[in-house]
Amino acid sequence: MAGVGMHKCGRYPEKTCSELAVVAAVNALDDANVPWGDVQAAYASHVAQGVSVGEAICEKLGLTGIPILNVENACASGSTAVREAFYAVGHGVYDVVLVIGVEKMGRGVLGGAGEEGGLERLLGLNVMPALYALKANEHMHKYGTTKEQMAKVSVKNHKNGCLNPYSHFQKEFTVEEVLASRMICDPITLLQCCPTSDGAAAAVICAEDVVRKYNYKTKVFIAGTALQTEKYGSEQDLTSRTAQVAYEMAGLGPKDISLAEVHDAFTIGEILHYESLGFCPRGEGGRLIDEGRTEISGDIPVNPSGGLQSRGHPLGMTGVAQVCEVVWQLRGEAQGRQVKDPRVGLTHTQGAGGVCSVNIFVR
Amino acid sequence: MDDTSKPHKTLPIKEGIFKIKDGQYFLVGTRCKSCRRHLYPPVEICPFCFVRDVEEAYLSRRGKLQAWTVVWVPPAGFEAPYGVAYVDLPEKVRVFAHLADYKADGLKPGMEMELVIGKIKVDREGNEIIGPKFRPVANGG
Repeated sequence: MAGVGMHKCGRYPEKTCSELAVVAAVNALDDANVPWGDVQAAYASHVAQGVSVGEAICEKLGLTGIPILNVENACASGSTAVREAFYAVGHGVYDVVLVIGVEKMGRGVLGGAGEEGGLERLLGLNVMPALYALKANEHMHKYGTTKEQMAKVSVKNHKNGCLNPYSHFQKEFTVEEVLASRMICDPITLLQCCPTSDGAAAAVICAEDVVRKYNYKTKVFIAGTALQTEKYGSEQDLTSRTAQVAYEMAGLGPKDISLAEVHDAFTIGEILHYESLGFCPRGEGGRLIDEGRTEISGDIPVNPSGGLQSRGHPLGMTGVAQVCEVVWQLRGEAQGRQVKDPRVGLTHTQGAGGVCSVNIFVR
Repeated sequence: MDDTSKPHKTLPIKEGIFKIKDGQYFLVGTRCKSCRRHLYPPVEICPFCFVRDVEEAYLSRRGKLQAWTVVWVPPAGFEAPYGVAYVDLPEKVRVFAHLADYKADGLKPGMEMELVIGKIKVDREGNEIIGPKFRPVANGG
């Protein structure tokens, strides 16, 4: 990972998608000290922004004629783009590539996947918070997880977001405020849902033998990458299965992770991911947040960036923004939210239609 | 043409996902002739063993409540609040459907639920769109 950059998340009705993306791309290229002319391929991840957004972005950066790929994989689009770019560089196809994730979100409740005319859509079941609410109710019943424990995820991530200049919301909330906010899908309240934000993030990926040509920043490598989808009859949940593939590739395990950026689109998600990523045994996710172990000062900090809850969740951006945070953390550049001496960072995204991606980075 | 002059119809949310047999509604799924697994909604190819040799199957009208929630902020075209639930049928099929009554008291995971067909929404032309819902089996019938 030669360089990363972002455009602050927020609401930018006056800006186009490619305008946001160009800011992030220029920041990443500057961070990497890589001139645009050296970039041999670009991967643009976006979900609902229309046709060939990648081409529109690169038109603004300069028409160099390189291959441009537009990547859509729901909430895991950004992570998928990073993975594809990594493989292209790893296999020696290119030496220098740019990954850009961008989205301008509409207002309102996040729908699930479900194609037009499909049964779930017809029945009004394509409601993302409802799917997480079902998981929350199941977890509460099975393991005694409480509403307060879920609310604490929102409190922690909003607190961390205050320390991240790229975060959409820089405001702290109490457990009481989170629980008293508007009910979206029982037991998930408004302040336990990711906001609708616009934003962009970018990363420059270089082959190891050329990266020194550009800069002498702390080297951050991709050690493992996994992309999995739902599997009929699988005993394991999707995140556990995906994490296992990534851990095996990296030759690392949950105990080696210094920090993680996980898919906290809804608070219960983060608690479930603690368990599936192996940070605690099944059913003990609520206890992990109670004990403060996932705080920036804890032994397994999760979402030091503020996560989707506070940074925002422009769908195509998220997976790339997680990489930005991990790179800043591993280089020791995360300032007020710096995790102590991290060596390994993990990113995790999960999306509609049943897709999950885990990427592991080391320095 | 005045809109109010048109008779409003009752229409199924989708053809073929529920049918009447012996005076009762049933969810219609698929049974794979090879692995004998049941699936709902109906499929053309068995996703377990990938064969196309599948047949129509009427599913049990009763199942067990696995989890539920109330949607307070609906997608376009729907009126909130409404309840949604996972119901596990004896055929090892998990059905994602509406609750007949989102305010139903005493819902508990594992409780026996039964299928009813009821109003899902009213479409733009004023037609009542009906589909599968589940309600707790009344105590003592």
